Amino acid sequence: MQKTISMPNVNLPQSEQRSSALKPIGLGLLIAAAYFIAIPLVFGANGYLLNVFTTMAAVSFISFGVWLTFAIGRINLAQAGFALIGAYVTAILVSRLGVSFWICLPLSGAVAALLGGLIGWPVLRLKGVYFAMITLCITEACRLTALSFPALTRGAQGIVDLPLPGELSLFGLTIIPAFEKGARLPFFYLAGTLMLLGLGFMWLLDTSRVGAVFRSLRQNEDLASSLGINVAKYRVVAFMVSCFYAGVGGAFFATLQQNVYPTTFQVLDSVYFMVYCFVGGLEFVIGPLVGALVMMSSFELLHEFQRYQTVIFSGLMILCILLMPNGILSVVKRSGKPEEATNA
Amino acid sequence: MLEVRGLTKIFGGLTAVKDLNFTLDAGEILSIIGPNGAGKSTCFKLIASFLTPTTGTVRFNGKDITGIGPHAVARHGIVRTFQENTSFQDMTVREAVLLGYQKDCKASLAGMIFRSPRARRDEREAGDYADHVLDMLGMTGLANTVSAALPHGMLRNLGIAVALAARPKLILLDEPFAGLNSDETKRGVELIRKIRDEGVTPILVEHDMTAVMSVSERIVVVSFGSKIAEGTPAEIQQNEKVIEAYLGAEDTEIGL
Repeated sequence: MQKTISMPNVNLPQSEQRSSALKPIGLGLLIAAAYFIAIPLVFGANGYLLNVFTTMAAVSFISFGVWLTFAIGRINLAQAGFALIGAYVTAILVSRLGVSFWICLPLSGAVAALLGGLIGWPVLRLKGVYFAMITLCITEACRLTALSFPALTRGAQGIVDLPLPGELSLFGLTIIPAFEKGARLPFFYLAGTLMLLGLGFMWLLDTSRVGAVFRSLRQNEDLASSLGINVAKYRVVAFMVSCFYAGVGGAFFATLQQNVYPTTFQVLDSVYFMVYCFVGGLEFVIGPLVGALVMMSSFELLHEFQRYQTVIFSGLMILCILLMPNGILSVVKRSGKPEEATNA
Repeated sequence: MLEVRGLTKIFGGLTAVKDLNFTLDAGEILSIIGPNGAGKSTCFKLIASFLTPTTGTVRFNGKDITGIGPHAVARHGIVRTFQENTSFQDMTVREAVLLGYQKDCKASLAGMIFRSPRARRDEREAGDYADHVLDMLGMTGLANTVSAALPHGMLRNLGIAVALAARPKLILLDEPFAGLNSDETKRGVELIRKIRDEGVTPILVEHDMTAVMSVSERIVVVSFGSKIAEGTPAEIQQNEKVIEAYLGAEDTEIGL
């Protein structure tokens, strides 16, 4: 069913275009129903599992950004760095200035996107392994920056005891009530909402002309620029959107854990965000979500193997990449209708 | 229409293009020929702003477009094709051609993502134009074929189709006949005339002498980066310098 997501429906006549848009929307509703209704009903009593799902949703939200940089043909390992920036923006504003979390959440994304634009403009000229290396350095640089400015970030001590999100009201009308101490469901729902909004926006973007332009950059930047596409502008836009996702996700995690340390997001997290995309499949908007779901749930399921948990998990991952180099979702596509290429 | 003045490009110690001058009128089919490494492709890259010339200017319809960047040159109406079978591998033929229409899309970024009425109108116009281009190249039947699955000749045509979809005024064709059989070449020559009749002025860089002689109205011969001759195909075939510098003993080859 997932294969409809990345179907290039731009080339279908109007009527078909509309019907092919129905399937992804249906899939979106299915995910929403599973997340918002089924999971709380089945696992609602198990706080630990709710936390796992909350983390999974937020992590896949951040990974959507990495997926987008893959779409323009860049291996992005800076995502954890920008998530850390988002986390600190929220932590500092909430703890020092008492700004509402609901303002900080989008603001953190905006700050991360802005910094991403400034850094991305020169850095995005690089490709392949060079871009991967420099983004890896960016993640590390963010951690070191957080360590070196204790006046602002409190250094290694971190910013702790962040307040829970307060009430969100508009014109005296309460839209979201204040989060209660110890309650897990509010964060669970918030993470799910972010995930679905993030997925929806990615889908809109991917199926639009902007998505086609991004794919053209991955395949041949020279050819794209010869057609009048401002390559530099589009890749910065893609990177900024990616950083926005990271910033918002970082702000979410800071508030969920009620603290931020320079080690909250590290290089390893960047690698994980990237791996979720790989495991799920780079051709599909929904790939990062599938990747995060499969990897995190299999890790939890292997819990009973105790100290062998990580070994077995890594072995499974290697098998997964070997057998399905294009991600889990590529199997779905292969078993579906034969590819258009057979027309030739 | 196009005016190249004193164009020079030096790579380190190598002068790839040296003081090249030529002009081109709208609707004229011009070919640039010369031995391998003569600087023909470099010349194309300089015109299309993929490279910045060391000295010299390129003027298009009176405007100086020297070194303004490939996408900016494209927006002025100059689009190039590539020597290799360059295409968007994963896209279907129609998707690639639709993308070619990009520079005439007027919707904003957000408009495109959220499907504003302007963006939808762009898509409709792009679709109509893509169908027109595919029809012109006889590729309608291949519209939904993935580019990577196309045979060589069709891939070459796709490159031209994508460039045409950008609605250029001037199209730079880099070796459009390379690797084509004589049948395909004949159709290619027809195609270039058709492109010209559509109001797009073509410039060719080409090695296939038979094709060059039959399609060109004027030929510029380049050797070691400098222009050594210019004229009609008949004049070039008689030109002593050309025969000596370029064709050597194989002068029978330029006869049709």
